Amino acid sequence: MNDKRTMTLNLSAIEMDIVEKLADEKGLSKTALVRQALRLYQSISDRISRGEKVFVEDPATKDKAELMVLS
Amino acid sequence: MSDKPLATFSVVDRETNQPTDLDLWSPVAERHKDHFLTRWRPIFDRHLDEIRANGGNVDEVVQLRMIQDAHWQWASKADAIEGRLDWASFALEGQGVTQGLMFAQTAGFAKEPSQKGKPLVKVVLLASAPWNRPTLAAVPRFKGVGRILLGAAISLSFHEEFAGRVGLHALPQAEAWYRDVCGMTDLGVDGTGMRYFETTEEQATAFLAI
Repeated sequence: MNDKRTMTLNLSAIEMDIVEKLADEKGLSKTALVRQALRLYQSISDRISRGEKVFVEDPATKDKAELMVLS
Repeated sequence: MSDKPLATFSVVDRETNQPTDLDLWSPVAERHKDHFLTRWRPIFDRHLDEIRANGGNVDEVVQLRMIQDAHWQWASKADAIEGRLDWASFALEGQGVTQGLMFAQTAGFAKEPSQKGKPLVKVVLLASAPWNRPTLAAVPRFKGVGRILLGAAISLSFHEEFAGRVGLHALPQAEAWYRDVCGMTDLGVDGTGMRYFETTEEQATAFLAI
């Protein structure tokens, strides 16, 4: 929908393995996976910048752990 | 802001019985927010005033008239998501007025067992203008606004390589429409207290083919 720009992304072998594994699991191309990762990172980063906390919850025990973003 | 619509749909204006073009815009522009405040809101407020004046169960009448969305803050929500990569907004415009609005998130994950954990588009807000609703207008002006907007969400899902997967929580009066007309999978009432629906790739393809 928007104009696209191209960049070269240098990844280590293990990082590329993870990109390929996740892309395969999610049914996405590597480009779409990176775009999705950027959306999620921006979403979490914005919330933390506003002073909000982001938690993950164990569905069985309901235990919550705060998501720490070290940036 | 794009200077041309994403798509144009020909829909019959049921007041004049003439075909009319409805343009799909994304993202929502200032004029669409203004239309909500100046054209939609006064109608909602008039109904809410009338309901309160008549007494009785306000929530029940609000549900019967399908105006649970009367309090939605479209304008401030549109401002809040500006520049956010995980949100998309759409407006359907015809005859110089906003006929429908939709906000969707593009960072959700599917819950339906066959596609659990895969990315999907989550429709967060979807509404047609009050004069298009059978509960508010004797002759709803444009039929199919909701269908066009849901189709836009499915198209966005395909565009983002999400295979047409779309999820949403339905207001009670819209549950049958999503399940029986749109063919979405009903995953039951969840922690939100609302019924959650999702499309699979097959359902999304079938929806767009109609």
